[in-house]
Amino acid sequence: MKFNKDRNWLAKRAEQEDRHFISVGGLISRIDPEWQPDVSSVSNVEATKTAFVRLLQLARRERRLSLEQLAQKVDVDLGELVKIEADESFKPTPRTIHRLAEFLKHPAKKLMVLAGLLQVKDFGLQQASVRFAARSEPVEDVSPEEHAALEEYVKFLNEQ
Amino acid sequence: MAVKFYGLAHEGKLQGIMKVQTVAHSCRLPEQQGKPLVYIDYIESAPWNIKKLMGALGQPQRFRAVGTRLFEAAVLQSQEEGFRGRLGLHSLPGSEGFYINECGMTPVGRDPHKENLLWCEFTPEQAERYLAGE
Repeated sequence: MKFNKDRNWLAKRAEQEDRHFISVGGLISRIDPEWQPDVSSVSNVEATKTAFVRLLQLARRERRLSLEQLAQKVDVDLGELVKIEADESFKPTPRTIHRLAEFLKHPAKKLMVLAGLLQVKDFGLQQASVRFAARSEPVEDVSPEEHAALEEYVKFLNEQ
Repeated sequence: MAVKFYGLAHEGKLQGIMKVQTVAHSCRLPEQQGKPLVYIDYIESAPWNIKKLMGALGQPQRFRAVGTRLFEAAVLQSQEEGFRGRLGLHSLPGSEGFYINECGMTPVGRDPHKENLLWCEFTPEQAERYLAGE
């Protein structure tokens, strides 16, 4: 197999690749599941993490998407999305945050901060996150879809 | 061989991977309908090599052009198999611009059997132009 050794060709193609995500198939998490970005200096602010989870939940529900549908749309692992919403101590992968940011049309860097992957001294963001987290606590009744899902799951548990 | 995996390794670590198939799919473009092609089933660069992702973290990417080299390998394999560079893939939504605008593939249509992903295809002429850097 004779690969192109022209540096100009490679530089041009690298430039094109850098402007995009070129993944097909979503195997990225299997390349190195242990890899985490270097965030040794990051101290997570609890309120921003809560705000991130609420943001994701509300944005998903506004679009009437289940977690499964969202996972398919943005091509991320469903298990990871479940953990993000269920466990605020869970640290998502940078790729997942980036895919969510693109889908939700939010700045990726801000979502990285909210998710605890990046530290930025932004007092305004922290304050806004605390207010949002406090105001977005769910108080509404269970919807018919939630009720149906709950019934099905309870039935499954009782059959085991 | 029907299925082949490519791995690009450096510094003892996998930097990118690709899986291709040669018998599961055939051309859908009318001018080459039914002809054999190399189908890219998976292609991915490791997260630390993706500029957009590492940029959002405020960190540099480690290696460039990993996906490019894998894609090039797929084109070369297609030529070696006698398929003259014909390639096909189902692009994820975020990658359509890359395959159509940068690589020069033809968007054929959305595939209802594959989550409505966009089928993109290379003709032999497009593959030659890609390899020539046009």
